[in-house]
Amino acid sequence: MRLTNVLVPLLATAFAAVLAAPAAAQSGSPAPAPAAAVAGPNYHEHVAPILLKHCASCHRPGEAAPFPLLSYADARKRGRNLLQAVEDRFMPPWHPAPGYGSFRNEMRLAEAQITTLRNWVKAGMPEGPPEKAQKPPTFPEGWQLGEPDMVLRTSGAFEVPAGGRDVYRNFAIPVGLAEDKWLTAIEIRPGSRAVLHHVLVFLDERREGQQLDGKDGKPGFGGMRLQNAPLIATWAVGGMPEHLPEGLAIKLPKGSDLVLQSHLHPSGKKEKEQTTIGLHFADKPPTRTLVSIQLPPLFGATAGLDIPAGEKDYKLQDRLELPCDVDAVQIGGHAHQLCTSVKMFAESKDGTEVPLLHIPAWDFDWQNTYTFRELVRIPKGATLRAELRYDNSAANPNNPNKPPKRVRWGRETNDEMGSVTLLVVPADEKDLDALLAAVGGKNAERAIARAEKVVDEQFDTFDKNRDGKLAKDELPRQMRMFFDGLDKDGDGGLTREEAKGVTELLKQFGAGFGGQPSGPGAPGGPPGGVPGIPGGGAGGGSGGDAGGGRRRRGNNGGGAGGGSGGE
Amino acid sequence: MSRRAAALLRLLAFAGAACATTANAPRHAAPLDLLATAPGRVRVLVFTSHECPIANSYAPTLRALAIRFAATPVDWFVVHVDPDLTDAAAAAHARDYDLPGTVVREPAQAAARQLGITRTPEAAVLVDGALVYRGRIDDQWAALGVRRAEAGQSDLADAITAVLNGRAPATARTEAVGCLLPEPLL
Repeated sequence: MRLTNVLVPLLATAFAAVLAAPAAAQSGSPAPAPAAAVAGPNYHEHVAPILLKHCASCHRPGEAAPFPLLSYADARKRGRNLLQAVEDRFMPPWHPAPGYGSFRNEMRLAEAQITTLRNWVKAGMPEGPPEKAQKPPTFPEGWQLGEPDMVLRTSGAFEVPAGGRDVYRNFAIPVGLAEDKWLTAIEIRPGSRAVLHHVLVFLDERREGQQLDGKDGKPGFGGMRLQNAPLIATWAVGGMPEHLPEGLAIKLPKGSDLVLQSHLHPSGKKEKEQTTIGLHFADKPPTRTLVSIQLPPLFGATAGLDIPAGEKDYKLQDRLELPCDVDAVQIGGHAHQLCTSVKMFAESKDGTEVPLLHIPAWDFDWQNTYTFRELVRIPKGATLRAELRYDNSAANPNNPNKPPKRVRWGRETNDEMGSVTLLVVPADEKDLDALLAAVGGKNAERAIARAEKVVDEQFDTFDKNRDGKLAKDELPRQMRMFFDGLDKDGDGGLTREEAKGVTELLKQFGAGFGGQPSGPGAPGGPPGGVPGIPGGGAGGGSGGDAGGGRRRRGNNGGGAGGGSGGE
Repeated sequence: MSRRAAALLRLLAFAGAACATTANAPRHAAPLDLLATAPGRVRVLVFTSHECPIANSYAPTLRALAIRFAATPVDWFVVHVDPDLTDAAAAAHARDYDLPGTVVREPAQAAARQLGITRTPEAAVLVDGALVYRGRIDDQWAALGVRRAEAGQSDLADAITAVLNGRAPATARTEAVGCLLPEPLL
């Protein structure tokens, strides 16, 4: 299994990018310069402006929040409860550290605003002059981005049980395009807002999802074993859809499908979820090419992620020197339940630090992608640095294992992953190839370096009949294509030494592990191309997880675009 | 009679009674005294709010506890603290979430105040009119938004087991994680 985990992503089609982003009430509105806290606040003059701007987009009828916050009566009734939630920074759900990267749709409350709310609750929640009452903002009915170019639904209503662990379920969505299209946005509309917590959207060019959907008698399918399925969008509760900036778009090839990987929270009663998605297409192909830089690559599959039981502060780090100026568009982290923080910054040659993203209290529950308020220029020669931390001690309430146990990389929720994905465009489109080479080279180098070790470690697991050799059908399906190449003596079984030859074999394909382009520069697929792999391919992976999870607070930046992969 | 129908009848019988202000005619002339315990019986009150996601998420746990202690002299009450909830909405909620025991509304929150309840969900265990346990049902929720994969401490079940065995609960008070009580009506 471990072997699969490495090879599948390695050989899968590359790239990925993310369309949707978390959002507050007003898309793209500038971060307000917070006023000072009000000492003697009342509802209409001081509290309503905060709640209507930061809370009402979800806290209104028909949306995900459990109660409305549109009127004085609404706010007074829940005053102490809402103060608890904002003081705890549980609400509004915004997880990047303030001042570290500047993002669209920032939902974070300023300390002064929280103080104003606290003062209001302490004062007995006075209403203030009714003539100062604000009208609640109006929100578009139905699709927030307007009528989509294409509306699609999952195959049926999936029943979510009343209790128990969280549910992960994939839903194949046939698209059936007769020609290539360029996606600028995907809007996701939950069937049951009480249970659908987050969604990762994968591009399924090989239409594998359709083969699996409904096989167990229920809509969708469990686990996540797609190959060649890059992640192209994320959504989490409270997130508002938005178009990619600057005319950028992601290619949706004709004949491809989409797969939604949905994280569902049992709510206490049985619910049914059938998700609707709306696709928005660009009129013309973009002129700049999006490149997904994931550090470490492949959601950490080749980074040797191995966290001892009880380890309180395990670090996962990676770096990449940029061969050209780039403009950063979006960013997000991805990790599972043990992760405690996620950070990425760029270090210029002159020592200047460009802050990109810091999520100081990672929360698996909020798989978000963040769009920079303005494109962030990162100069040639700068080093991108990613840093993730994990707490595998019993003190981490999100630790799925009790007592803690050794946790390694894997697709299941109780395994770990770790990466930060930065979506960039080269400042000059002429540098695209150099950028792809740098990104892809890194992926290939890391993955190849690790492949032999992984094969060695997993040999006994694969060798089900314990005869000391791996028969073709003992190999994971995705590896069988390599069988003949590895079986040097042609006896129909791989010895440990023969299996370890996978590294050499992969090196032969080295040129194929290109970057992770997702723009027009890669209309025919990534440079190179792996023989025998439709779609050719480079870097990104596929995969995902399954299994029960749990929720946690805080933040999770994650899910961003990168190569695809688990989760 | 189905379990749900029974729950609904109990709701109709008691909901109005605990709530003196309800417009629906109570089936009981005298208000239900939530704090009055019958001799030899253990009373468990679980304070809840239909609009608290953490409280709602405990419905399957409460159902499992009620089944576990079905053969014991434990009386279960689910007490709604929301001032705006109607009898009909409480009945629908009890049906949707398959709540065990007697469902009552206490919009004035008198018993909650008297017992020192601050959040939903929060449980109180009464024996002979005395509060012997108050706090969380278990430690499934570590904080707002932080739900463990499995609960490790079953505080309410432990407290009930202790009193059924004639002992005082080892832990008499725990802190509940959930939603602070809504303001009672003005």
